[in-house]
Amino acid sequence: MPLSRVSSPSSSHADRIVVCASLVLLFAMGVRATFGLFMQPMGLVHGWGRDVFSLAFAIQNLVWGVAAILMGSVADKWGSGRTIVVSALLCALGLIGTRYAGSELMLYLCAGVLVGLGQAGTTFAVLLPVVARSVPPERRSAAMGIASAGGSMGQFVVVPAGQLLIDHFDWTGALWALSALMLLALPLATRLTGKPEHAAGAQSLGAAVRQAVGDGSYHFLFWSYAVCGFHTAFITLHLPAFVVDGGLKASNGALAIALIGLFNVFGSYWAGRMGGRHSKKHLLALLYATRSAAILLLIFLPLTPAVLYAFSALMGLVWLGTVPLTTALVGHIYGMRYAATLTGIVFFGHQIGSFVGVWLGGKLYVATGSYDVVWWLSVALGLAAAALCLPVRERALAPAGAA
Amino acid sequence: MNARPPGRRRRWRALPAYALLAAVLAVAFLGYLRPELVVGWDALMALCGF
Repeated sequence: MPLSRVSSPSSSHADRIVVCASLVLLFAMGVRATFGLFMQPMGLVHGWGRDVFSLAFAIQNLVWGVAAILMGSVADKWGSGRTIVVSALLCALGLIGTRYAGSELMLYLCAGVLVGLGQAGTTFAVLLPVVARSVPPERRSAAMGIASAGGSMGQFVVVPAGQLLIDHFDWTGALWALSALMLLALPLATRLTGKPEHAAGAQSLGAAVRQAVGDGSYHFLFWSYAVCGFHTAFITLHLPAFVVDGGLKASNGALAIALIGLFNVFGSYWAGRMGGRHSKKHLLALLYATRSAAILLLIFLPLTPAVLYAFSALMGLVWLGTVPLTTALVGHIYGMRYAATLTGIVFFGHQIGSFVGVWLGGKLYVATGSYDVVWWLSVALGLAAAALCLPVRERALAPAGAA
Repeated sequence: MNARPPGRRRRWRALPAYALLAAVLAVAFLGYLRPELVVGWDALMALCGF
């Protein structure tokens, strides 16, 4: 299997790469997670409502999904270091542009398109293949788990830090500070350089994509990842309304989101660690089935703070654990040469699921007057995703189309 | 001479890092309970992408 230019990396070199990748993910995922904090202060100044911010965030998610394929192939072709540098600059530019956005169109362009492009090159599709190439195959999953936990930690710790920045420096100063945080990725990118080796006569990008698309396992991973996107997007957007409808207080909701974030850090790390010891497809199936079980808990038990917290903790444990496992499977089955591109395509499936989760959640709520149907649909989809993971062939394919 | 096996020594050396990590997580958790975040938790949850 073609590996990186670092064919036999020293342990400390690999450790440095894992730490740098974790930090870049921490900054990128953390900055993205603060978006909701700006809705109220920016909305007050510009007179923008929730619909404007929702559309900007939807654009950001779609651009992130589509551009992940582009940034993945750029990283495979021209190197991950350059990709991370350009993406971090785009993200910082998007944040500064958001600061000066005076119209809705500018907000969509800056917070939606530019930040989305920046996210695509500073998150999982580009970073995890770098981590995977830097360590021996038996440590790959655990290393990706650590890097993913870095992203989860960013989501968790940057949000209260962002609120503190808004309290002290107003939202304008906070956006400057967050763009400066993204620029910290620039020196780290110098440690995350390199691209997979491309031997003469080796498989082309087109042949690698055709091989993956022609393989059933790739489709199983694509659609199970789409279910992951459906769950996370539906829950983040619609849980607040569900909780308020159930008569709980804002403080209960705040604790719920804190628990999801906290347990997500441990869940991402645990999933990657376990992926190095056990079958990754079985672990993925377990994660999806656990999500269904957690949702069933919410359906059958009366909504009390304790039930909400138990749901949040359980859901947090299996929230982003799918990321290192799915990425590790793609790298393991189809090789590391085009891992960033192939991971980007699978991540696009995740974003399709996110879009459907947000849209269908609202549509079915309006049509039926409650979230019951969507919760049951989420249970069924979780079980379907678990079933989709089981037939995945967890063994390396010989590159097709190589000269 | 240190009689501890290398694995255990490494774990002890990593202890300050684990303690720092735990402290950061604890402070961040408390941050979610501040009134400013409690008030805006629904907007945050809807738009943060957790």
